[in-house]
Amino acid sequence: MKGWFTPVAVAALFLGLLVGTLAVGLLLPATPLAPVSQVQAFQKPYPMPHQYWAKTDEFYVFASGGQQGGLYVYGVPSMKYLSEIPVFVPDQAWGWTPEDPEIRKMMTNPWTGQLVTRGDTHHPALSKTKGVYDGRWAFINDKMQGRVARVDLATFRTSQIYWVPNISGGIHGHHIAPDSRLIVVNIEHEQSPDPVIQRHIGIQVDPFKGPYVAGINGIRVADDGKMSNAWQVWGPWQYDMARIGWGKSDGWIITTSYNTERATSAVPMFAREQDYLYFWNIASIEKALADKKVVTTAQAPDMPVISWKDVEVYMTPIPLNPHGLDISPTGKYILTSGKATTLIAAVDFEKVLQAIKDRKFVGEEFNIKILDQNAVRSATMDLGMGPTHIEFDDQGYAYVGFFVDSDIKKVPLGEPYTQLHKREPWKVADVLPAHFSVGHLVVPGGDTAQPYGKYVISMNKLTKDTFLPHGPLRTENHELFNIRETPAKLVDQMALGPETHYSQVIPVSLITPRSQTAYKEARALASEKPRVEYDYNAKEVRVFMTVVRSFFTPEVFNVPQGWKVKVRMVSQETALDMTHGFALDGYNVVASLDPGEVREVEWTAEKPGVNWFYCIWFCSELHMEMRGRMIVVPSQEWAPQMETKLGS
Amino acid sequence: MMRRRQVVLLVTAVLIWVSLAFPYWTAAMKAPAYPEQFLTLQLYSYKYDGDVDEWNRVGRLVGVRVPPPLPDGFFTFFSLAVGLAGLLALAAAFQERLLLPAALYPLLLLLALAAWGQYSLYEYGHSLDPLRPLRYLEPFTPPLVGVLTLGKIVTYHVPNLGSALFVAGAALVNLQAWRARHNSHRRPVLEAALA
Repeated sequence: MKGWFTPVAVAALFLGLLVGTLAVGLLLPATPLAPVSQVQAFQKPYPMPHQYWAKTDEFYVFASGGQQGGLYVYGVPSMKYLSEIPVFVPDQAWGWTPEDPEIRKMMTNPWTGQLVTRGDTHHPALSKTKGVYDGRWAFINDKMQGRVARVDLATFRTSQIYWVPNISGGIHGHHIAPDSRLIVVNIEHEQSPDPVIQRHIGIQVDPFKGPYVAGINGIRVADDGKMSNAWQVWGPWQYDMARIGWGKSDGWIITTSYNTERATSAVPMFAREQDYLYFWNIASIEKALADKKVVTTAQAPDMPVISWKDVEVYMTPIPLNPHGLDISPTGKYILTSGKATTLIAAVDFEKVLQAIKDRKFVGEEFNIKILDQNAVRSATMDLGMGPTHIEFDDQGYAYVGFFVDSDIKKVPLGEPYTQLHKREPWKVADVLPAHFSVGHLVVPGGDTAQPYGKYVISMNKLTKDTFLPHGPLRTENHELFNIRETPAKLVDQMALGPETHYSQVIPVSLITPRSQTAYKEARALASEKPRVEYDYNAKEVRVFMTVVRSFFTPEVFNVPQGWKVKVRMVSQETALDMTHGFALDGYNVVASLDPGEVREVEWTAEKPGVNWFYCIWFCSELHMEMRGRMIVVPSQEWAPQMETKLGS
Repeated sequence: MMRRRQVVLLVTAVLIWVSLAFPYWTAAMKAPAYPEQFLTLQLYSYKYDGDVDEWNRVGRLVGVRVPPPLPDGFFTFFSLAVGLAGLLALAAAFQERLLLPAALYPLLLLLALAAWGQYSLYEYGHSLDPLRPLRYLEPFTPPLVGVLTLGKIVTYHVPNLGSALFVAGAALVNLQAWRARHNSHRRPVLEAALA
């Protein structure tokens, strides 16, 4: 017996028992779900490989929404719509409603206190480092109200709205410096500004008749992206497009004006033979600041206003009513298109500097020296009707959009690009038909020192009968061309809502590594318990609510009629794509909470009775059941024992 | 100079103690709503870890909850019991008469843990929330090692690195005990076969 009790035998016995134990678990049947087990016979994991589009797309497009007021996002080359980042206009689906006090504050005019929910986005400007995109922020301007917003590209959410002071609105050109330290926006719609400004620039404006004045507005951008007033330069003219130079044109701001006539109605605005292209020396603006040749207004005591006479600025004639103003990748060529003509002027900035040095002036207007156009131009191209904007690729070509011709013309640039394309410069090399009427166009990185090339997207203003009829108001058409092939090949078309002006296109590698899937805000509040607080002095109910599949906690709270209700919601979710919403029956209240996000909403409890609030995102199988109640008690019936206590 | 057996037993003790730092058992759930990841639960000798909250949000439909209720001091017992296995192996290196207990004890412990684990899983699948939405789903028993399929939610249950280290330690100490016994019985044929 003693011989039997060897470690081997014991080990065998226990191993046997162990295997037995494991077998028990395997043999006891797990109850199958009958209907699902039938489905399983046919089930393939996914109809397409998971993440197919996420893996094949090369670029993100950030397209201004125009009168939609935000920023569209889609992927290229899939042309798959991804998002509409709300910026100036509330959008409940994308979680941007002024019921949230933080958002309301951003949307409130700092000078009038008025909530402004209308806007018109025009020119996205992606942040840059050393002249190329870095993927940190997208800045976007609002032409109508005169604002610039910053969108954080880790979260695709608006994080600041900057208001241009001293104007009523009407800005247009918007461009960012190669190091993202400075943004310039142009005042397009002429103003009758504060008398302090009129006195400082020495132009008295008749507010009824004009002529009015305008200028350019500089915005400083801090390391964290925060925008603040830098300076305003006011002068006699309006300015349309803006570029902050780089490379050969580094240190200069370049602008156009289509109303050098200083007219106040359409026809007189193209009365002249030509309009002007302006070159502003940034160092001279900084010097005027340092020399304190500034005034400030009561409205904006921190915005130094400079007269155009106190800065170094030159101009040169360009084809009438310029629209496009774009700088080639090395910063050498400045191409402008005369929208009311068939002409594109190619101005060589090296020649501009030489002409300034050699004083090749042909006159002056409003104290600004006019550079001889023959001394600064490399070419004047007659390419077609209604030229709009210009972009550049990595092979030495410019692409010019034509509104009236409804096409894009590809044009080889002059030296040093001839080494790349080996063609006769400034002659049409390809024509890309568009459907219809090209406004802006974009090449990935097309306004940077290093374009990525490969594609052109034509953002057409009209679609006519391209897509299924959908009433008199028609959608817009973004057309993707592959420009690695000659002739360029139309790859895809996408119907996208009204109405993109400029877009910028950035490689996915600059966005996806920083892309956040959740916010970290909720972590700081993890220890706070859900509760309801009653403030009888302020007549305010404050609800601290947690939100997680599929519960609001508290799921009921009582409120005396007429009191203000402030609900702070904390999403306890961490799972990807698990956004919840808060919509209150019968009230103008909607909020949206991404994973880990904290949001606040406010309203006044006006009507007595039961009001359900519910999640507006289909978050789980119990989504419909994810709801709760606000019970409003007529104020004369309210008693403190009606206060909601959690756990009771 | 240390004998080879002593060195092996010291290594065994280290293996068993190191196992404390690693999960003993892992459950990994794959559900269609989580294409980008597995939801995992890790059982260490001293804690539960993993996507506990998310697991419960999926499990609510079925009526399961993790972690299952554990007796007071469970993790203390678990860690100390594993630590003791290492201690016995260490002691056996210097006290040959402790070799047999050092060999048997980890096997007993392993068996006990496996039995407890399977029982817990039985409880997990049999103490379903009476208010679960899928009330028609009958109670079930997930295997300690194996696959549980509930509709399109598939859960894989596997021992993890901690168990592997512990089993390796148990195997080594048993091998030493076995060799020691053979040496004392002087059975040269088997000895030669092993050599």
